[in-house]
Amino acid sequence: MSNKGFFWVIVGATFEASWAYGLKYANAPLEWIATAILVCCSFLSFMLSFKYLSVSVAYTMFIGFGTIFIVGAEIITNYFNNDSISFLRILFILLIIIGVLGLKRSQA
Amino acid sequence: MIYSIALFGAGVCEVLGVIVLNQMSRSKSIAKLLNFILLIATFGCSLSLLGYAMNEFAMSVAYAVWTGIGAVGAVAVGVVFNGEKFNIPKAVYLFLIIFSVIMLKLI
Repeated sequence: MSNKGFFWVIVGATFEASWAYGLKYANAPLEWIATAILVCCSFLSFMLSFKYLSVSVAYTMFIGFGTIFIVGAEIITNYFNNDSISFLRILFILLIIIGVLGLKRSQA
Repeated sequence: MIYSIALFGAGVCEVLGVIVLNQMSRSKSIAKLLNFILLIATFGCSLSLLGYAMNEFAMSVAYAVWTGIGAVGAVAVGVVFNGEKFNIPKAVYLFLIIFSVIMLKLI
């Protein structure tokens, strides 16, 4: 496991969660532009991680951490809005991720 | 309903984007530039539709479904266009994704 590769995956997944948040909550031109920049940043981090990791490992970690961060961001947002957290929802999201990663592996 | 269609469309655009990306890496000069423009267009559509779908769906649900459709589409493209084998494990993972998407819609 290369530390540099891991670093870029974490950075990329953070950007990934940020742009998802932006897509959901941005409602002004400046916020849209920021979201677009975040998309580019996550894409670039993803590309950089390929330099240090194999594509399948990088992809797996990227999707995995990206989803975890997005679910985390949503839980925090819900907490501040006093909304309840649906554990069933988290379960099915996890199942989708398992399916996605399994498909990727069976294709390799 | 319209939001579900938008989310599905976002996943389809994502798959198209990946196909274009593959073509771009194999093309040269002017074709590469055209592919690049197409790439921006497909990913642009994908993200716009995803953002629109998020008006209705939770952030995490929309993202997971979008990723799932992308993976299912990639397998479909591989089987239909590149003559890849379709086997039991693939079928199981496909079922898992589709089942989860339907359940997310129901709960």
